[in-house]
Amino acid sequence: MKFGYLALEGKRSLRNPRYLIFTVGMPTILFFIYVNIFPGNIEGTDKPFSAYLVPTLAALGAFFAALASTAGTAVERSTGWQRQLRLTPLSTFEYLATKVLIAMFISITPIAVICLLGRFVEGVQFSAADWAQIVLGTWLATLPFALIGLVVGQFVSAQNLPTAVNGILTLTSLLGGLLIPIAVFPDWMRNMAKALPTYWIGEIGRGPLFGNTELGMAAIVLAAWSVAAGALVVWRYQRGAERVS
Amino acid sequence: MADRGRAGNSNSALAEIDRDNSVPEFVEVTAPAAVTVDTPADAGPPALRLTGLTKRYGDVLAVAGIDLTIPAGQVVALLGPNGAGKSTTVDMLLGLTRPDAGEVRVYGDTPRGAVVKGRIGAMLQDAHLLEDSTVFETVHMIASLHHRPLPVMEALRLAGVADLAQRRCTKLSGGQKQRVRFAIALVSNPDLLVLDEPTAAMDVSARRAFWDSMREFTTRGKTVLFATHYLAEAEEFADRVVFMRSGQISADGSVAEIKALVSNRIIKTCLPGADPQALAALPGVASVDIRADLVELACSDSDAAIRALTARHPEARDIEIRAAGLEEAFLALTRSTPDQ
Repeated sequence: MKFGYLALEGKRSLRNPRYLIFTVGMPTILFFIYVNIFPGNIEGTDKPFSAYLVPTLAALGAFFAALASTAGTAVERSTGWQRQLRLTPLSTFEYLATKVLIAMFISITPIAVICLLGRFVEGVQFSAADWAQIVLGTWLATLPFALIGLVVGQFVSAQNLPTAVNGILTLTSLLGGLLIPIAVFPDWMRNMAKALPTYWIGEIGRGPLFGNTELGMAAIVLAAWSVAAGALVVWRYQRGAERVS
Repeated sequence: MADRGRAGNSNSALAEIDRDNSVPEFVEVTAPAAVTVDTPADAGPPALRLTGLTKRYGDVLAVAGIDLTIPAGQVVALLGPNGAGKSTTVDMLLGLTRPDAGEVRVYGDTPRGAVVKGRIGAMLQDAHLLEDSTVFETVHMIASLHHRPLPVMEALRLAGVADLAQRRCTKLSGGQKQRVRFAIALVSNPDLLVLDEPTAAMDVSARRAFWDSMREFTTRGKTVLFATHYLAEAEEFADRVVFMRSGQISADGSVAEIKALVSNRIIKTCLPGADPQALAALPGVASVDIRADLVELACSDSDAAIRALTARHPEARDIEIRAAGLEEAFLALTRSTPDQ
């Protein structure tokens, strides 16, 4: 690992807090809207609906942050900065891994903000172990999204990037049940949701509410997406050194 | 600089270019034999060796199997019209583009191997800088990736941007950005430096300053390959000029040798009211160019032409006769088949 590169990338991410407006602001607004629309309990339990919203919207903000962060590499590709980096000993793995680490670093903020709002503003109660699962589990589950964002960054032009990223974020969060619970979906949509990583990043944090019966499945699906996206982006990066104009 | 350490060009190995043929025969020049005298690297493999290098984009043969060897210590200009294959060649020798056939060796190594060892550095024409970082941070980060970098401030000083170290890269002019790119290329302390249109974004004084710092770099015995559109730069700074056209090397030799390919001379005179037809009919005159009172005669035999001119027009004044420059050679070498 090249720490000089990681250090500069870390510094750059701190200099640009713009991303917080969207990745923290969006789940925060949704949290307060939903809490007021649905004041009751989660169906079939004695838990308040806000306890469902905390892990779900933490997952929403975290995956937004991770995916949008690495998708930004499209700009480095089209400005030729990646070509410049290819003329250094920095390897494919080191470049991509640095981007993933930075993306996961950025995704800590939305998770922390939603959990703190849930706990201290809405009084959501979980045991310490459950909180740890929500925070750490959701955070680790951003890995496939960081990798998917890299794929987007290596395939989409900088010009089309905002459209592509917004489209992907909106569709996958909707279809994966992060905006509307998949319980209200028809069967075929529910089955489709279970193929999406957005459903499973939510399920990891929601596990404590429903007895953690699906964690194995969540790990398998998220790992599969990570491997597929990781392999695709390594393949693409090693071939994509041509000039982009 | 142009004749640095050269043994002499008296015995030019250049073949005559067949200008009637749409594809001229390759001008065979043995890589100028004597290179810099006091470069110890001479003993090792050449700085660059391209063998049968080929790249095709769809139906277009961008680079058509070129062979080129650059001994350590040479300063080589790569010239050619747009679309000649210069950039594709540069990309392949840097390892940014995979050749369809042929081989690149940089000091006997693959391009990537040479990059990892920091032996090859490049200033890319199109690469932007990181917008939200300072010049120092950017060059420092690049230096941290290399195994034997120059001190960052020395690279900045060599590139003439030491005073901009704390400036954000967004707040730089085009020429300043280009010199920061130069610092990025220098900081790895490469033995072979590849520059793609290095002075494209620079004004005249910036260009002068750039070549001054370049000279400081080449006096360290480094090898330089630069692609350029400014023929004066090639004429002034290169030991050797390589012309590319239609994906092939159409001429290769010292600046003097290339100029010798175009044997004609130019007569320039002030001659009010000149008749172009009459001038063109003079013996030894190949073409006529008249701008206001200024007449330029491109001559195949300037001796015959000047005698006839002064006999016919004793009023001609301010007469100048000069050898055709690299620019005329360039035009002659690229004229017979206009690109595209």
